Amino acid sequence: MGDTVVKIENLVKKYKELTAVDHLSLEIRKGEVFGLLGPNGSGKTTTISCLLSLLAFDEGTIELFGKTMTPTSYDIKARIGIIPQNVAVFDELNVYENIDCFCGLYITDKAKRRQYVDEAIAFVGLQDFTKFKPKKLSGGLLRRLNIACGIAHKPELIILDEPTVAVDPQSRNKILEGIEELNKNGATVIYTTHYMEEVEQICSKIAIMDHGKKIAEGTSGELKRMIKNTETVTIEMDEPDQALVETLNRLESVYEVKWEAGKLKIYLAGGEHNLLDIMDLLRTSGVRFGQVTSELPTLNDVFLTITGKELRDKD
Amino acid sequence: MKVFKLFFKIARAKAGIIILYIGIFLAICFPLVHSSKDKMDFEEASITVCVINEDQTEASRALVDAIAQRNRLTDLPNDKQKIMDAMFYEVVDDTVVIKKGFEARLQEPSGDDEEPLFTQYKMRDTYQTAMVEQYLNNYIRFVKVYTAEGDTLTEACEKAGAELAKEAEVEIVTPPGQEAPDQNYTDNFALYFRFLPYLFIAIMVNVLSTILTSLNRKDQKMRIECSSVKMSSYMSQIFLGSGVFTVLIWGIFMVSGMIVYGGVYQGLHCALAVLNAFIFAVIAALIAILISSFNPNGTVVNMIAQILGLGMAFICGAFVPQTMLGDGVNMVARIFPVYWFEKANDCLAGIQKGDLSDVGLCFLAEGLYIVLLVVLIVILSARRGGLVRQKKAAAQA
Repeated sequence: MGDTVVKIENLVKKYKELTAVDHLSLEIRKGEVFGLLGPNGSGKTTTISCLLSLLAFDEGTIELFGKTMTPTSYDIKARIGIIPQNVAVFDELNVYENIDCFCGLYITDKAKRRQYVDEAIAFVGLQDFTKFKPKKLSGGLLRRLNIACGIAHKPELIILDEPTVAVDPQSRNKILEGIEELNKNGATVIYTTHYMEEVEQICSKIAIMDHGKKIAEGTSGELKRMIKNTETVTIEMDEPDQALVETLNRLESVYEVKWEAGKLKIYLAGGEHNLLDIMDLLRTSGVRFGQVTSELPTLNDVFLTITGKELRDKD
Repeated sequence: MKVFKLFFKIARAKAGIIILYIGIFLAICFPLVHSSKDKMDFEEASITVCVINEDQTEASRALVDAIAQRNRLTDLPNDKQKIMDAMFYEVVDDTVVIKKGFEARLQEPSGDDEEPLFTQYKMRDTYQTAMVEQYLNNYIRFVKVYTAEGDTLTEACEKAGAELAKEAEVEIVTPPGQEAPDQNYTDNFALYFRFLPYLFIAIMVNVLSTILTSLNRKDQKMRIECSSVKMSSYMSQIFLGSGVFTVLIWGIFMVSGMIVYGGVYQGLHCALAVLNAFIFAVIAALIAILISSFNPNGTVVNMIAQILGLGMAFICGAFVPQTMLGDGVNMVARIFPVYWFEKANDCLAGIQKGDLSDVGLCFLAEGLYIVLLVVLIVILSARRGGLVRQKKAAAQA
């Protein structure tokens, strides 16, 4: 496969009794934005650490750009950019010096490096802060600096490990737009997160992990099609009588009706004009109701259906 | 050499600390070294005395003249309150009232319950007032001896005055074995080197430790490990940076020392003192590297620097010479490298007994500390590497 950038086969990483990564296989193609989605402790960061040869693993193979990855694969490392979960910059250096320092680990030519650093600063929008020390930057600006340090050398593969943790919405949007732009410019992106909205927004392919295992893989649509639910209708109303619940259950697409916290939840699988049918039925039954909402399934629903638990705690 | 440059970029951010230490050190050391040049000179003490002569006889006037030969005389009214005020405000150091009948009683034979010939006012007992008291007693004793031998009172007073006016012949003798073995490296200038251990430890721990801690911080190091820089090259560049930094700090203090010394160092003992300082700079650098391997934060680093620097300086003879410290303290101090630095320095300056072989032994002891520190750093790095991997693994799992 000429356009396979990352190929992981049967990766196993154990810590004594605990299996952090359990026979994981992944294939990431050139130009993809690959989302690695899973709750905390699901093995995402361990997988990335094995991928970068920062951790030795017990079984399996890892190939990057068609070559086996080892701690001394400096030619491969030169083609990768890493944006770690924690902001990894030097407090003693200013914004420009930090980006120049990390870019300098890859690019030795001064003129070229200067150009790359300027481009990275412009890319993350830190032009007005080049002389600022990291301690003077806000959380969002620090995250942007962290990203600039990882992408300044124009890597072909960019690995972002939860880059939006504790970031304000404005900076989060800027970061996500930036990742999409990097991808448009030709970079392959691996994006680990536990925020399903982000994965849905930017990832062309998603692998969901839990307890070190890949439990599902595909595009957002493919993953959602894996579950029965296609729509959930929520109605604010008084507690329905048993007859109404049974009538609703008899509708063609309805497979479950639940009364939860003052709301009636109707779960549907397939079908067309479901909301209209439900509204008609309620009207003809003389039921008074308030707000009605219809929600399409999310990746959290996928995760919930497969594992029986939420992807992350409700905010 | 990107990591090497990065090392000095971080060091540049700490330049303020280094300049502060050097500036304060030189400001304290320069006057200290130069003011102690004349400390072995002898000068007779002289005080301001008020003599109130109630007797107004030939003998009493002769005594006033005798007192004036050795002290500064000043006038005060014969009023106890005013005299005490003048003494309180230190206008005079001592006041002597020669009582009426002084001359007559001077010619009488001495009795057991003899009334004093003088009244002496003093605010407190000092060595000056004691000296005046002793002088007066001696004067009276001499006069009585001379008159007993047949001299007239006038002759006796003259002779007593002349006798007591003689200046003491003082010869400053250096105790055997404590002669300055090399006049190019005097004990005055050795003061400069004596304080260096505190400076080296403070600067190395505060600056070198924090540079290395920055470079070895988990996230930054991970980023570097992921880059195309070889880890062996990374480590060797850090090692080179630490070495160059150590030599630079040592060099700055040696050049500053020349300003205090007043030119280029001369003689074997100066050269050995410079070598001693270099060996200790290496020890301080290794202590800093050892501390950095625990990844402490800035406050902890500063605390360690002060405890180590000041603690060892006090106990090992940097601030108080080893010769003035108790045997117990010196015995305990032997376990610290500063002790051997100070001992070598004292031997070179002739402050302590010891020849070049003793200096060599001190260098050897310092060398053993270097070996011990290197071994500790290697063991800790290996252990820490394993622990970090385990912690990282546990956290990620």
